[in-house]
Amino acid sequence: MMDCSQFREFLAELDRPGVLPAEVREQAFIHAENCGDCGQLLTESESLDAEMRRLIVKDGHLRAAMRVESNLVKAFRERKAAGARESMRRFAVVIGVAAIVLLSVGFWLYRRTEAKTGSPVVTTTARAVPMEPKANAVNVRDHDSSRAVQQGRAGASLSHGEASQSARAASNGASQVASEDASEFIPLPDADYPVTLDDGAVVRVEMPRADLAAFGLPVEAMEGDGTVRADLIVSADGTPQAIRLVSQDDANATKQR
Amino acid sequence: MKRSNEPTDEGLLGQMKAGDEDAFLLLYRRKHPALYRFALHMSGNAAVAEDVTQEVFMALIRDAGRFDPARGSLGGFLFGIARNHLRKRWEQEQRFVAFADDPDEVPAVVPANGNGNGRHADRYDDEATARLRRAIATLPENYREALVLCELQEMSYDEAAAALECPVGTVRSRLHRARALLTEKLRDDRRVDRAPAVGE
Repeated sequence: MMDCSQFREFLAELDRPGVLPAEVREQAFIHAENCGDCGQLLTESESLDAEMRRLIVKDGHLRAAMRVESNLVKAFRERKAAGARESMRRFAVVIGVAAIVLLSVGFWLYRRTEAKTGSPVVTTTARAVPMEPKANAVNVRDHDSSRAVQQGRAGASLSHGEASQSARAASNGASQVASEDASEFIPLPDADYPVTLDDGAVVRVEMPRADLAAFGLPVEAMEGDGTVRADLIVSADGTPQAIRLVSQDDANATKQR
Repeated sequence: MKRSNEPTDEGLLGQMKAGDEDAFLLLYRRKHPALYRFALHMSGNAAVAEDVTQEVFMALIRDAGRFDPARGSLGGFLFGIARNHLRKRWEQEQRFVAFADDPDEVPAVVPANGNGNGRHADRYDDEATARLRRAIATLPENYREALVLCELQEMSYDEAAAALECPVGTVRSRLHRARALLTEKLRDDRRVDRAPAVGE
């Protein structure tokens, strides 16, 4: 049998479906029938429930004004536009970072190659090298010697005969790369006529001995195995203009430098 | 009753996050009436209720990612935001009970036939409802929250507990206390109403 304190405990939930077990509700109603005070409480509680239901119905149609919706739609659009701008900004940042990384890697590779060769390096794009240097040929560009080649010439345009002279001058200028024992530059058959050496470069290559011998170079006198080191003068358009032999000792000395 | 092909709240929220304006509008239209009424019952002021409703959805636009389905329904989450805004306002203004001459006062819901000359039953209805509104507005805030959510918004204890960020037992005890206070206030009001009649 339910007492008054238990009844009051359950009173608020008598009208809520599914909260109290059916037998508890039944006992509560039986108690209210037999207890005047609790019966009064139940009546007031039911009256409160009825008034609240009326209030729910009455307020059921209440909505915020349309201007709230308009304001929110405006804010949503602004936010969306800002989001798109932010996405673009992030994309630009990603591209920028990627570019920086690529540049850093490039610079690092440049430095690493420079450290290996011990001299400033520019990868030349010498094309149509007739003597097919080995894959690991070292491409050396020595600005000083190049300048020397150019200074050694009176003008930019030279005849093939003059190329030999200029090659000699280049040989003097390029002595910072190779030793005094290096042979003289010999103009190559595919050289330009007149030979143009503006902004040319001296390129160190390693070539099969037989290929060099075909140009009439004195490779027999040189020590070493089947390959020989040589310096090529390459014009600005990448065409090899002249060649000279470099003894192995000189090459080693150059490497060490 | 929800039709099976209607998108869920979470589904709409996902679309809204992806920038779908229609999904946002649908979500707003689905959710805002209950939030507005909650704010209205809590504040007793239509303008405040509108501001709070707007702030709730602004917060959703700004940071929809804050909603975690594992922690409760979207409705509970939105009621939680509304409650926090109401509390801030409460702290700022310290005035939430509607005043009789306040133009934004809790509505003046005009009856369907309503030009002031309605039937006696309608007038009684309005008076009883107005009395109930006043009584609710004078309840302590935490009791009022529980009452408004559980009784006027017809939320379950679990939903109300999620919105109020408190245990279910707390919601039940607050609701119990709120109802007791409300019953007492309404009883007092009725006594006051009857008193002049006795003297006449």
